[in-house]
Amino acid sequence: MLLEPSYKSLRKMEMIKAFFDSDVVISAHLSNSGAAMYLLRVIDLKNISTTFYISNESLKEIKRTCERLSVKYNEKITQRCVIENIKPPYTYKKYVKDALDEHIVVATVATASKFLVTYNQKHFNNHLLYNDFGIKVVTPGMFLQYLKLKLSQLTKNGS
Amino acid sequence: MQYQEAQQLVYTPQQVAEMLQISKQTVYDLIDSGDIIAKKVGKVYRVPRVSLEFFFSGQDFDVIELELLDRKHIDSVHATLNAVRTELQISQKDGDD
Repeated sequence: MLLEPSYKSLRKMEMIKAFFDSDVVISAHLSNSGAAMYLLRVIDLKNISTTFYISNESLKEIKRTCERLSVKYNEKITQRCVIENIKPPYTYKKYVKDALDEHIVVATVATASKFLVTYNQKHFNNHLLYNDFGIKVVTPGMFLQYLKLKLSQLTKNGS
Repeated sequence: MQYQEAQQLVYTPQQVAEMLQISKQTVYDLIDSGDIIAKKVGKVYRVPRVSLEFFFSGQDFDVIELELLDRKHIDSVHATLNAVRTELQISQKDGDD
């Protein structure tokens, strides 16, 4: 596995908080061996301080989209994430190119996540999100690569 | 990069040096250190395109492969998700009225 050999020797790791867009969680339902599912397994491992979030709103759309795609909704996948409760009205329109994605930004900011993990990077105003909140909009692959790098840095430093 | 180079599946060390804007010696050093996977064919090295993915995309090849598995379905995910989001937003507005 990508991350397994290094993490076992870790004694400490900085906290990493990431919000998962619904398309990533749905992708994990469709492919057991893709990047999305791989990432969602990372928090199953001990000694890694990662917290992944979805929101009450994204949970609704995940369930409904799975149903439409004739994919069985798997509670075990979303249970790996902490659910952040949000409710309208929202005031983050300037951070998205499509108003339908606004609630994703609302929840990412509310959870103080530094990563928004999505396959829909083009829907977000990435530059503004980084400038105003320090949020990096990344694909699951980019986030996996980042975790790999962090693990190798920490093991190099003898942590 | 020339069009023909972009379509190649394997490269010479010289071509890799030009693409990455490094010296040919550095390419050989990277091959020795395992950072570039190359195959020795007789007396010469040939570098498969896949082993250069990290330099172009910043992602290791195994990570790229994992994403490709998700991307097979992503268009239908996005189309369906957008439709669901629209419905949920409409029903939310109707609930507010």
